[in-house]
Amino acid sequence: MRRSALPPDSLMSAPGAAPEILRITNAIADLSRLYPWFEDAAAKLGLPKPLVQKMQVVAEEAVMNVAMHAYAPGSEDKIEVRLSASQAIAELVVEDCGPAFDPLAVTEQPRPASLAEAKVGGLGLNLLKRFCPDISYARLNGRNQLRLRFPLESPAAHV
Amino acid sequence: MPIVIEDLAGGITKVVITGRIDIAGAADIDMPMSIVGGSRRNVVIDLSGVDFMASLGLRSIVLSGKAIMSKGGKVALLSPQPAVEEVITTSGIDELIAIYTDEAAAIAAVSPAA
Repeated sequence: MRRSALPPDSLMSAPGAAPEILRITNAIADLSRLYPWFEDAAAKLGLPKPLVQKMQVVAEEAVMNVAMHAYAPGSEDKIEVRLSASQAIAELVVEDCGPAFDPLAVTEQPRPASLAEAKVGGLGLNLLKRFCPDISYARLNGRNQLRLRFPLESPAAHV
Repeated sequence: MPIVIEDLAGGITKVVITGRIDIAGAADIDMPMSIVGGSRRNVVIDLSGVDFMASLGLRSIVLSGKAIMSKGGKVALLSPQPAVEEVITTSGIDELIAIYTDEAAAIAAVSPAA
């Protein structure tokens, strides 16, 4: 049984107003909607462009991880992506109903010594952890929830 | 098309990638990059016209680079923009495929005689 409602804690801790939400399957046509949706959602929330680029790198990695590893090709299961912002934080949440997977529990891949040794898969998780300063994972109601938070620099921070 | 493959003198291949290499862009370059990986040995990948790239685009470049190097070939990256360079260096790919800012130096580095 799968619950379609948002897990209770997201209502408590999502910053700011109602989040922008995208629900897609792992079909290529659906996955290709991630970027146009993100641009639109980030513009509505007024997020600064350099941060948007960084968040998109992280969003692609988190979503493609689910698309390639959690769901079988042709699956009807949805990946839910939510973007919200308060004055201090922009938050990206990626949820899926695949098998429990905590990317934070994966040991960081050592930097490969040669290209021949490079494992393409592990590098993306390194990227995720280095680009996002605040990542948390929870398994809620049979769903994986990856919460990625980015501080927003206020103008006062530059004084 | 966000990718152009030019065969230069001296057995060098220059691959010019442009635009946003997001999920759709990565799908566009995947097949051409795998052809480059399978058929060329001395390759410069010009990234100066790429505005955005994340891990799928990087994956395509790494897979192609692996194929080239497994045949004893050489590959170099040319002039990524700062945001793209950050993705490359954060993932450590620059330690495997060198980044050059000068085209002549990149070509010299991958040339068969070097």
